[in-house]
Amino acid sequence: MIYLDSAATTFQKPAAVQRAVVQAMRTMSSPGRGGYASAQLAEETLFRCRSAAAELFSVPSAEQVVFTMNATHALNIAVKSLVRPGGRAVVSGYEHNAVTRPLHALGAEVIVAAAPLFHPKETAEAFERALALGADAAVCTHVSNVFGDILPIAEIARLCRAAGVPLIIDASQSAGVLPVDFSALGAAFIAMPGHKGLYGPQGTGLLLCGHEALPLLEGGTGSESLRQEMPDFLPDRLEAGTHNVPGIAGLAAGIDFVRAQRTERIFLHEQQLLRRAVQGMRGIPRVTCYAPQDARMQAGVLSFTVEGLDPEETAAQLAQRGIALRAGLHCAPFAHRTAGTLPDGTMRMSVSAFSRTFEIDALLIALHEVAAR
Amino acid sequence: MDYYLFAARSVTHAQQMAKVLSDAGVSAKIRRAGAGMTGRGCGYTLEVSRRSYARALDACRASGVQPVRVLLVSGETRQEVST
Repeated sequence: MIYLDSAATTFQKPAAVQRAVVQAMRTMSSPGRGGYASAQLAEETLFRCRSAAAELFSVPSAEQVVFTMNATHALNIAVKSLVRPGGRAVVSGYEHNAVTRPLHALGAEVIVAAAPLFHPKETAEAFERALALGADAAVCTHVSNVFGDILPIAEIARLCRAAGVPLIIDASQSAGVLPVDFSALGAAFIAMPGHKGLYGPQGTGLLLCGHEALPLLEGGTGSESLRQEMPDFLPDRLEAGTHNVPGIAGLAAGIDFVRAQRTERIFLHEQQLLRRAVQGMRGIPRVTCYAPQDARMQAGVLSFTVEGLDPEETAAQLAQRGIALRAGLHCAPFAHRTAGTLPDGTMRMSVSAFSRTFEIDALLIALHEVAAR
Repeated sequence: MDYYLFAARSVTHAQQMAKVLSDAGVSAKIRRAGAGMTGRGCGYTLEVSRRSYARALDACRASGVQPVRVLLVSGETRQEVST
């Protein structure tokens, strides 16, 4: 199989990640629940992972790094901590349902700071106008999960600080690929999955906390057990129940891999693959790909369509040729509305540090065949 | 042998504190603490020798990772220490 769906999850993982998961299952029990060796080993693994994440994302304290099940879980905590029921939120035009559905559930008024694809200046201006209305929070994806558009997150963070509106950043497609500096951005929360650009197993995520947070779950934390309220300190406040220790052990190994490879190098590698794909697709009749003039505005995700073919049908035909990529709306109807690709959506190819040039070439050959039929 | 217990609010806090102390050249073992120690149920402490106490406290102050309380343990008695 040629796997080009890393925006959903990076399927190929470093060997160290698999080893860490197995090792954790063999040697670690519940962290924070006992003073014996296997519990301590689990605790040490969690702390090592928190500390590695804190260093990678410039978080002042490991206590501000909270483990979640995935980015959706992290975003739900962030959104529900900041946006009051019936309150108001400003979002970019490229948000995922992981952001918009919690806002909808809260009955929040959602102001969309919409701007055309790959137009950072217009995006920042749209945020500035929307923030002037006032809001409980702003939520912005760092990189569109549909189009790979890198949003001007530093400028948006600056605008939010100036407007006094707390910012939630969805770093689902940027963590491990682009610099994400928690301290410099001054965000209230940054949410990210562990299983994409950080190369951890599925079922892992992180929430970086710079603001008071409300628990989404209540339960045992191994601390302050006499009290019926959840602890008022992080990370325990947001981590009820037993942790996914094998997953977190794998995530720690994944973060080690990213730090060893360096995000800049991974980004460069992914960009080269994307450029090759864009150049190839532009030469295929009936194929439209969504890419900027300046390739630096796009990270590892590329959407395209084949004229006259439903994206799901295109994906099915490519799957028959052994190529795995995703079609449809990618859980981000806002992004398709903004880009004008509703109702059918797009085909999406996305790469990782493990993607290779020959895989892009194989996609282009297959796409030639599919588009010619 | 007398020693000090640095109480932490959580295992992560205890680990942070242990790292600060380790960076300052003070070795301190993390131990679970009973409800009597924290007054709020399960908690964690770091055992610090009398010899390392001043250096440990300085390191905690400098890093901003401070114990929630400090107890001096002498034989069977425990006494809270003002820091």
